[in-house]
Amino acid sequence: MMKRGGVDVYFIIPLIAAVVGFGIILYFIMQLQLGGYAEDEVCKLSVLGRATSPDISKGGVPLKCTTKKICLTKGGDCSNNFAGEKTENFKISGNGEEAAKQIAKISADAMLDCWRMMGEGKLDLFGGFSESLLLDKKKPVCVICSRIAIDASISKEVLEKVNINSYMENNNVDELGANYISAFTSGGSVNYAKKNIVQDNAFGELKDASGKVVSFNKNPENREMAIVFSQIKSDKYEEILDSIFKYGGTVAGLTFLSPIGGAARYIFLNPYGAGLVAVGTAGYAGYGAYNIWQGQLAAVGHCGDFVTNDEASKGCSLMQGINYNVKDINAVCPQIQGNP
Amino acid sequence: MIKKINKKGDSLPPEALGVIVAFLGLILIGIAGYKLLNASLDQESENAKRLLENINGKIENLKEDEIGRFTFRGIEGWQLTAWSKSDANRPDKCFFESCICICKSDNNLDRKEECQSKNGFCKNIDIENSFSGNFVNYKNDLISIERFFENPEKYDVYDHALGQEKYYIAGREIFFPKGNSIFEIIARKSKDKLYIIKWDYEGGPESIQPPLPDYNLK
Repeated sequence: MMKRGGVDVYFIIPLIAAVVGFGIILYFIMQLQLGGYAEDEVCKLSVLGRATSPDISKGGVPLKCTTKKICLTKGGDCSNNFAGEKTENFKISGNGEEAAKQIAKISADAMLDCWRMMGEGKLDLFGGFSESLLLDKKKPVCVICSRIAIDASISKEVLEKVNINSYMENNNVDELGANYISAFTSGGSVNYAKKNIVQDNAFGELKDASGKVVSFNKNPENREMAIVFSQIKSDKYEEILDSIFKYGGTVAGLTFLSPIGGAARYIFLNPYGAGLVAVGTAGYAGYGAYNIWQGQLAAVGHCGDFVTNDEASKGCSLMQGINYNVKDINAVCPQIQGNP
Repeated sequence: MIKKINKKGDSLPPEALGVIVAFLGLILIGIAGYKLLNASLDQESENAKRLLENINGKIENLKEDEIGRFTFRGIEGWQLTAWSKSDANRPDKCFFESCICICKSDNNLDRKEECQSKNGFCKNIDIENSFSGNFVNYKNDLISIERFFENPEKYDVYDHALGQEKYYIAGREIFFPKGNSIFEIIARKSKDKLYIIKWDYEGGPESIQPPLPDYNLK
């Protein structure tokens, strides 16, 4: 007779077989290396994998997001920017307004794709385990989602007509039936808060918290922009803002909006170094503008509690288009993750 | 049959199930951890290979005597070195050719060994002499890229004590910046020479940075 409370060996054997079988199946799934997926899907999966893993193992989950190289051309190949790299070419047709609109659409789509891939700024991708990734917790960490180069075959006159912000405000995302701004805020806001955009060209004179003027490279012939997602964590918004001023002066001129009940609420930052003006309670999502393509460049941000399996934490996620050069990128991104 | 076994007392104690499942769980976690670690390391190596391809692509795309200014994303803890065909100390991976290599820095190894290890990736280039280095402008004196490339050999002074030279080339390796951040190299190739230079932006205050003229640059 079986001992009371004992476990039958015939119960144990199938159980062990099941566990081992599960392990073998898991092993084969891991061996697939996600090779069958498109790069975007691999990136999304890795973002979710990292965000949902316990803090202790997050550092070991690589962020498999590869920077896309997008070439906008009328017949060239962007070899000045992308020689030796795998590119996606988009042929721009028409002249003037039509070509400018196509460029704005591709840029806006790239921003939206990046925002969505990174969990709309709500996932904690670099915190808690930053030491294991050799990251400095106090500095922003970036992922460069894409680089968009405009080939010399597209004239400067066309570039001057590109207005990404206006495009995002006045055009709908195909599958949503709502404009891009609405898509960025999950339906929270549909217009820019115009009166809070201090100056059209924020490159003009931005100042950091200490009053020092933050200047950016104004190479008039810049033809490459990077779509950059950045994230910084802190329990205090003041500290986050301080870091944004310090490392991302570009953001300082932006207006942050808090979409509550469909109405845009603001203001979050004083762009001239006076620091915090007003802080709401529910988190923030916002837009702003500064120059790119000799026109405007849009940025989107989300500040609030991150969705995480571990202890809740606060932080800000920002996404912006930045001229792709050493000075501008490194000013915003002292640390970069993902694949080049 | 079951009864017979049970009669002989072949049942396991109640804790056994927990111990076995825990043991198997630990093995699976160990395998998963090992896989994760490998995936991270592999990614770094993959990025290094990709960066090498990118740099090589840019160099191949350069026309003869053209100066190219290129922006790349670095890999912290890795470095770039160019080796000439005539350099007896180049890694065996380069065989009988000139090459450029991206290798993981290791304090216990010399430059050649770093590149010869599994953490070193090399690409042969069809140019007899290839050279890499960091251009440091120590004194507040401007020098243009053109002037540098007019007679680059003049600056081939390694590891000079600070203060002895206005300009000098420090080291053969181009170390990638911290935080995997962006860096810029300037390259010029002629029929028999290739120069890959990192203009040292950290060598002094902004005011002494060399001017980078727009003309003749890619």
